[in-house]
Amino acid sequence: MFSFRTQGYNGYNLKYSPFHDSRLAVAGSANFGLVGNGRLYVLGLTANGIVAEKTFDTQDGLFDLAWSELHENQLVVASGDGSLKLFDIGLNDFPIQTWQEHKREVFSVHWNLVDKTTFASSSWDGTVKIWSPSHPTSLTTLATNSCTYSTAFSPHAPTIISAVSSDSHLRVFDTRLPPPHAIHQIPVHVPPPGGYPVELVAQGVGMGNPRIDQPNEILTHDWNKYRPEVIATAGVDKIIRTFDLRNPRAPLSFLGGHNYPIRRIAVSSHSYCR
Amino acid sequence: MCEDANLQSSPPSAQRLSQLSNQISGIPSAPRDALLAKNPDDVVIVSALRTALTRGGKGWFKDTAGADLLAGVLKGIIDKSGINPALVEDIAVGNVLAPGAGATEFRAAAIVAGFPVSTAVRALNRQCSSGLQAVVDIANQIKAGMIDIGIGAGCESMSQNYGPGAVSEFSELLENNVEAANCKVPMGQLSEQMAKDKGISRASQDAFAAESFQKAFKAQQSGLFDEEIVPLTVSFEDPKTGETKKITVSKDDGIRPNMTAESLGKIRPAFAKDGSIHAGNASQVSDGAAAVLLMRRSKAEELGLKIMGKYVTAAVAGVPPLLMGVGPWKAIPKVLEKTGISKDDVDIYEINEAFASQCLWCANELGLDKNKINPKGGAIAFGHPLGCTGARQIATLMTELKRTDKKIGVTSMCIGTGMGLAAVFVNEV
Repeated sequence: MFSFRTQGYNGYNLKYSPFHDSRLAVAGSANFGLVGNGRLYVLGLTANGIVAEKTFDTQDGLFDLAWSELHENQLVVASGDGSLKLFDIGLNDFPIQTWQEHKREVFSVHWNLVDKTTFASSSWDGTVKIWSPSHPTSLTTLATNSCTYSTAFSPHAPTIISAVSSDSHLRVFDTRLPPPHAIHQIPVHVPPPGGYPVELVAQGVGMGNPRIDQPNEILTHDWNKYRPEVIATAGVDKIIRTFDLRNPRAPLSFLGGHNYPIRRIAVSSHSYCR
Repeated sequence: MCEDANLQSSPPSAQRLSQLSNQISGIPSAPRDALLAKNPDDVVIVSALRTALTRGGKGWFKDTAGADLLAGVLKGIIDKSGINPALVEDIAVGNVLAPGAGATEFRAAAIVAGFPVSTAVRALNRQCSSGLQAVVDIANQIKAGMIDIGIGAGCESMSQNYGPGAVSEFSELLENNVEAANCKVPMGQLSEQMAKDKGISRASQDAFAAESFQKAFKAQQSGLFDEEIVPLTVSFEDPKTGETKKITVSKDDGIRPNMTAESLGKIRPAFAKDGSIHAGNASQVSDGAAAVLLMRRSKAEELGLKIMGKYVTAAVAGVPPLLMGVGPWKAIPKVLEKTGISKDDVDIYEINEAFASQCLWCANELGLDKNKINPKGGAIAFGHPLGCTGARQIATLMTELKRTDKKIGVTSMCIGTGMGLAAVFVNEV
C-alpha cells in the first residue's frame, strides 16, 4: 500500500490528474486550516512509492483544487485568503495567475468538464464565481447569499452549475438565463410527504445532534455521472440525500450511517447508482 | 453571509475557527445508535428455532438420530418462516461428536427436510461453539457476497455419539509438548482445577446452578420456550416395558422443579473427592438441534419476510487450554470492542453454562449484571448438546429479547482446548 505524509499540513482535498493516471495533487493547510500557510503537493505514483514531484507554498491555507481539463500541467487552488491561484507544474514557486475577488475563504473550486474552458469557485462570502484561465477577472458572479461550501458544474451540460450552502439550500443555476441565473433553490432538509423514516429521526436526538428536519449547513454535493438530473448532498446532519431535479420538492433517498458531519461525497464515475 | 455580528471585529483566524466548529454540532451518534441502524447490507435473522433438549441416554430423543433432529428443526424453519427452500443456498451445521462432524447424514437430513439438491450443506466442528460458528460462517458468507440466504445450525445426539472415544489419541509429538498435551485434559478435571485455582466456592456454584434451574422451571411453566421450540414426533422405546411408541416432544425434559442451593449441596463431587463440581452444577448431557435462517436485509425485504433481528459481528479468542472455561471472559470484551458498545449497552447475555464455576467466574470478572445473564436458565437446567448449543442460544436469546422488548443481545460460550466465541445480535421486532 502506497502512502505519503504531508508533514505539517493537513490535507483538505486531493484530485487525480485527468491526463496522467500516476499523478495526483493535494491541497493542504497548516494547523487544520485554521491559521497559517498552505501547500500544494503534486505527487507522482512511482515504482518506489509516492513521491512529491513538486510543492508550492501559499500564504494562506488551501481548501480545494481542480486540475485544468485543457492543459495537463495546470491546476487551480482555492485559498483561505479569498484568492484563486493557477499553478503550472512545469514552473517553480509562484502561480502563473492569481484572482483576488472573493472576500472570504474560498472552499471549493471545480473545472467545467463539458466546455473545459471555464472553472467555478464558491466562497464563504456568499457567491459562486465562474472564471476563465485566460481572463483576468471573473466571468460571472452567482449569488447564494450564504456561506457556500461546494460548487460543481453539471457533468452533462456546460452551462448548468450547482452549489450548496450553510443556509441548508441546494441551488442550481443556468448561465444562459439572465441574472440571477437561478433555476432551482431547494431546501434540503424539508421532509418528504410521508415524513422522514422513523429510525433516522430517532438517531441521536437529545444528545445535541442536529435535527434532520431543521435547516443545517450543507457541506458537500456531487452530480450523478449517468443521470443528468440527480444530485447527492450531505453535511452537518450526517445524512446523505439524493434529489431529482425534475421533482425536487423532496429527496429521492436518505442514507444514514455516518457518525460525524460529512465533509465530502463523490458519486462513482463508474457505476450508475453509487 | 458567514459573519456573526460579534465576530466582525475578531481576527480572521477566530472567525474561521468559529465557522468550522459550527459544522461539528452535537456529539457523534452513540455506538449503540449506530448498532441499531438498519442498512440494506445487514445480515438479518428471519427465523431461529430449536428442538426441545432432552437428556442423553434416557430422554425422549434417546432413540432418535442426530440427523433426524436436524431434519426436524430445518423443516420447522421452512414451515415457520415461509421461505421457499430453493432460495437457501448453503446450510452450515455445527456438530462435535458424530464421525466427520456428520457431514454425510446432514446433507441427507436437509433433503429430507424439504431442501432441493441445489441447497448445499456442510458440517463443521469448533467444539462447544460449533452451532454459533455455523451461524457466524453463514453470516460472513452473506457479508462477503458468496450467498444471499443461508442457514446456520447445530445438532448433537449425545445419546448416540458421546462416550470414551470422544477425544482422539495424541501422537508422541503432541504429548511431548506440555501446552499441546493440555488440550487433551478432560473438561471435568480441568474445570475442577480451575475452580480451585480461581477460588470459586462450591456454595457459589450451587447457588448459580439452582438459579438456572429455577429460572428455567419458571420459564417453562410460563410457556416462554414454546415459541422457540419445534415439536418433533419421534419413536421412543420405553425402558421399562420395552415397548416402542410414537411421541411428540415439545418440552425440555431436563428441567427439574424445586432445585435449591441446599439440595444441590448434597450431591457428591464427580471429579475429585474434595472437588466442587457435580452433576447438578455442570451442564447436562443432552440431545437437540437448532437452526437460524439468515439473509441480507435487502433480500428479506424483497421477499417480504418478517425480520426478527440482525447479526452484528463475532469475535473468537484463545486462552490456555487448561483454563478453557474463561473463554467468554476473553471473547466478550473483544466483540464489544469491535462494535464500540459497552457491556452495559447489552440487554441480555446468553452465556453457555458448561460449568457453573466457569460461567459464574466469567460473569463476575467481567462485572456483568446478574439479571442480564441467561434469564431463562441455561445448560445446567436443560442441557448442552455440544454442537447444538451455539445455535440454540440464539433462538433463546432472540425470543427473550423480543418478549421483553429489549434490543441488544450477546451470546458466548467457552470452547474445549481453550477458546471463547462471542457474537452480538440486535432484536428488531
